[in-house]
Amino acid sequence: MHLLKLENVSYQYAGTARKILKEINMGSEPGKLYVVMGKSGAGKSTLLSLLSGLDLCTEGVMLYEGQDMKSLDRDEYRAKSVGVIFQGYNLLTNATALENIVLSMNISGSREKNKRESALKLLDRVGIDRETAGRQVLKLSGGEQQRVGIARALSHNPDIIIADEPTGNLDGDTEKTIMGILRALAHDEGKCVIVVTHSKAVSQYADELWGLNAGNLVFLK
Amino acid sequence: MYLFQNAMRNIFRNKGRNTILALITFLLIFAAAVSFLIHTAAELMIGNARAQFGNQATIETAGTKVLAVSDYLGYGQSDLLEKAEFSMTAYGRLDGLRALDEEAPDGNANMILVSTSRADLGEDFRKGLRSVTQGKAPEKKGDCLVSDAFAKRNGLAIGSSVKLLPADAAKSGTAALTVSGIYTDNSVNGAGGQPGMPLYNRNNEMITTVETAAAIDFMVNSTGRLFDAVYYLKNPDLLGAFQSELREKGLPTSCTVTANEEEYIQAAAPLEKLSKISGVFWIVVLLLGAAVLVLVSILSMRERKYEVGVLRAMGMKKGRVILGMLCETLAVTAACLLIGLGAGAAAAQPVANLFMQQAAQGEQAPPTQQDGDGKPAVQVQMTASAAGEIGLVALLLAGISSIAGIVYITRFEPNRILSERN
Ligand SMILES: Nc1ncnc2c1ncn2[C@@H]1O[C@H](COP(=O)(O)OP(=O)(O)OP(=O)(O)O)[C@@H](O)[C@H]1O
Ligand SMILES: [Mg+2]
Repeated sequence: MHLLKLENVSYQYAGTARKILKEINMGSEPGKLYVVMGKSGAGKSTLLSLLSGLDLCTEGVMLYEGQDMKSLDRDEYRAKSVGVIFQGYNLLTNATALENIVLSMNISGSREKNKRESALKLLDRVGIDRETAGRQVLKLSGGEQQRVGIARALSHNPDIIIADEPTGNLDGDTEKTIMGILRALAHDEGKCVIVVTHSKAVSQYADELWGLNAGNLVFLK
Repeated sequence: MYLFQNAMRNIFRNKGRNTILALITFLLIFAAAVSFLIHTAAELMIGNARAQFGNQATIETAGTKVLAVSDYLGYGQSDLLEKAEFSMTAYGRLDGLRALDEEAPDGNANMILVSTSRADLGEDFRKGLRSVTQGKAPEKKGDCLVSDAFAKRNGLAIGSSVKLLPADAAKSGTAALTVSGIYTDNSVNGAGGQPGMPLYNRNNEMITTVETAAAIDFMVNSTGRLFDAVYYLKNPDLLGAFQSELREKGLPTSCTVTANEEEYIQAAAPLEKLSKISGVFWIVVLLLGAAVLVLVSILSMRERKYEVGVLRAMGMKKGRVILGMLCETLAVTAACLLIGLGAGAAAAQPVANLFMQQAAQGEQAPPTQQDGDGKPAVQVQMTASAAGEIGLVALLLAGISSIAGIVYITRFEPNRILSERN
């Protein structure tokens, strides 16, 4: 069964005439890494906001574990089922990197005993050392913030990980590390990983590659 | 729990914003505390002044002796009264005894009968100018006190009988009193000493109860008799009802019942001004405070919009976002409350004194801040109930204003907030 399923999903921003997404059909399973390629303005982030439960489609149906997103508690879905790496990071900038991760764990209702320790481990895994972890997000570089965002998406051990240009601000080596982590999450831990990007390099990691072009989603390979 | 911890951390994460909020809150609480405390104190003092003066009623008669002593006494029997105080002074002649400063019996008045219904025997005794040195104050009908000098001159002791005759030898009648005690007069006038003028010697005064004196007809009806009645109403508003009651009992329309208003007004006028100004100030501070807090809250919420978006995107429920931010505001308010109440309590007294000083100058009256005991005219005190009341209002205002701001912000969908920023 598909973990996430989109059936004829269309999306139109309120008060606009244009459909950003047009009758999209897609299914995603655990254990696979999906990459959605598209040019700037193609609607990648918009698709992502539907997948991450931040918004609802205006036409069609989107299902999570067979349940219509419209009838789902989407706060709960965001807190527990999905981890999102945002294009703009969307971290609490006044708090430290570590506090961001711990807060995410707390919101998800995690029973982890030592949240601080496991948060530090997670940050270490994406290349943030303890000293950096204790700094305010405001005082981190774009690449560092992106890595904190990745660690936060993983912090509550969700079924689905969604990433919007996760390597947009990272150098080639770090990009490899991060994509390696995302692939391992899919292949070794059975997560459903969906990455949207305009980067050819990232598309090489895909188990399934899709293309988004002017609101139309097509399967590539 | 984590919500609360995060809220506390947030206070320090956003030092700039919270410092401004704290400063405004402190000033509001300070101003509110000062005005509230002064208002409460002034109201209390007005109440005291009313209790002290406002409930005293006297009967103003158009002519002399329109009312009989028995009328005055009868009017004292009323459910509207807390108590009634009577006093009577009249002159008579001693039968067989010699007054002080009396040269030879000449058939003129030579003693003064003083009577009071007061348990403390009147102002002279209260102030210590006279004191009972033997026996006890008159209780039973017929009891009287005589001065030690008078007792000595006539060889009187406790239990001796004293016979009185009308001052006017042409009138008939006689009365017998029993010495129940002896008083000593310590006043400068106590010594007397104008030979031939016994009525000028305070030691010739015999002291009885009003009940005793009023039963002696020739005393009650003598020329020069003085009678005074003060009625203490249960509360000042009963004045009209009391007068109506007396009319029913037969008080002539030429007589009116009046309150001891002048003294009350004199005592209460500056206080009423103070109470009014501080009361208005307290309301203004509250209204202004509410407006400012809502404004600050909405301004700070615009700043926190992104934070709300992130928290909501992370899956935090709307109610918890509101609760967390409310905790922050309330914690800041509570801290300001402690400091503001303390500072307000300290400042209220000097402010009240300053005001009273100016009020007194404004009325061209001598300064009245100090009463006889050297206490300030308005004593401002921080009580638990005052602190509680101000605290409740402050927390309520802060809570409502911050909820207004947060609810305003949580109306926006997180997706919209985040996409706006990106
Ligand atoms: N809130 C909005 N209201 C109206 N139109 C919007 C809104 N957000 C995005 N759009 C429009 O929707 C289209 C798709 O935007 P989207 O952000 O999904 O593109 P994208 O593929 O993520 O682009 P990029 O690679 O630059 O991030 C764009 O034309 C954009 O202008
Ligand atoms: Mg985008």
